[in-house]
Amino acid sequence: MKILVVDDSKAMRMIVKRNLAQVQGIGTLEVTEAENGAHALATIEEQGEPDLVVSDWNMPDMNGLELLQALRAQGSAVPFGFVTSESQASMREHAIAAGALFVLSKPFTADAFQELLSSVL
Amino acid sequence: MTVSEQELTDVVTAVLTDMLGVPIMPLIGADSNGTGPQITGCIHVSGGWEGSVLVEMTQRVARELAAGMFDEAAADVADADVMDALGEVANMIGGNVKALLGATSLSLPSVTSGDRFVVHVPGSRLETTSAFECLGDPARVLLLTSQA
Repeated sequence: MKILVVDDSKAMRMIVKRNLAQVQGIGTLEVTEAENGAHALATIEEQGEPDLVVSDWNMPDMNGLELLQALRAQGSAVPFGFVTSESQASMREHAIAAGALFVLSKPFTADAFQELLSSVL
Repeated sequence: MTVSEQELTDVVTAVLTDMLGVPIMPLIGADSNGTGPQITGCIHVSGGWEGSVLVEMTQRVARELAAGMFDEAAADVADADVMDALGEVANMIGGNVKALLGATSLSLPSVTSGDRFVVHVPGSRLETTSAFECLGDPARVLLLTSQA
């Protein structure tokens, strides 16, 4: 499975990658990273669509919601989920309405991460 | 609208202990300023509530936190990665404080490190402090309210 992890924090990208590797049923994992939405779009254009995008929300140079909206505007139906410190219900509703599969709030435990990702994969 | 010391400490516990696996202990009555090189992460909250969250600790502890986040030995973590890690800690604490306050916007974090410095957010006052011991050193998270 090819997954694009998008977060302006290198440390958080590392944590997400480690947790992805522990998700049951994920199979062979290939992770690409991007540090913001603009970088993610460029990466997808260069390397093709991944099987899943896991993105932060608050980032410079195109935030996660803008990235999702840009992908959908291009006609992409790539599965997309947020891992974000934006934990309010209104933000969650906004994300789902824009086409996100899931919103996982930071901070998260390894169990919560794996349970959620296992359920959507 | 405010955040109590217990609510702030609960957020800190969720980030440092529940997620990053680093236990913290309340620090009551003791000096909450660590000695030696310090590092502070700062993030601003706005939209319905205006203020800032500061995460202060020693550079040694920040490096240990970063080591856990990067899964590397502390000595091998680059200085830039230590700052990145603390910025993300501030981001997570700030995001959860934002939710408690019903605010709508969160800035990107900024991180300052050095031997002697003060982070001053003009026009703000200290609202709530969570002081704790983390990996043997004092640390604290400050909630500042804008007085504008």
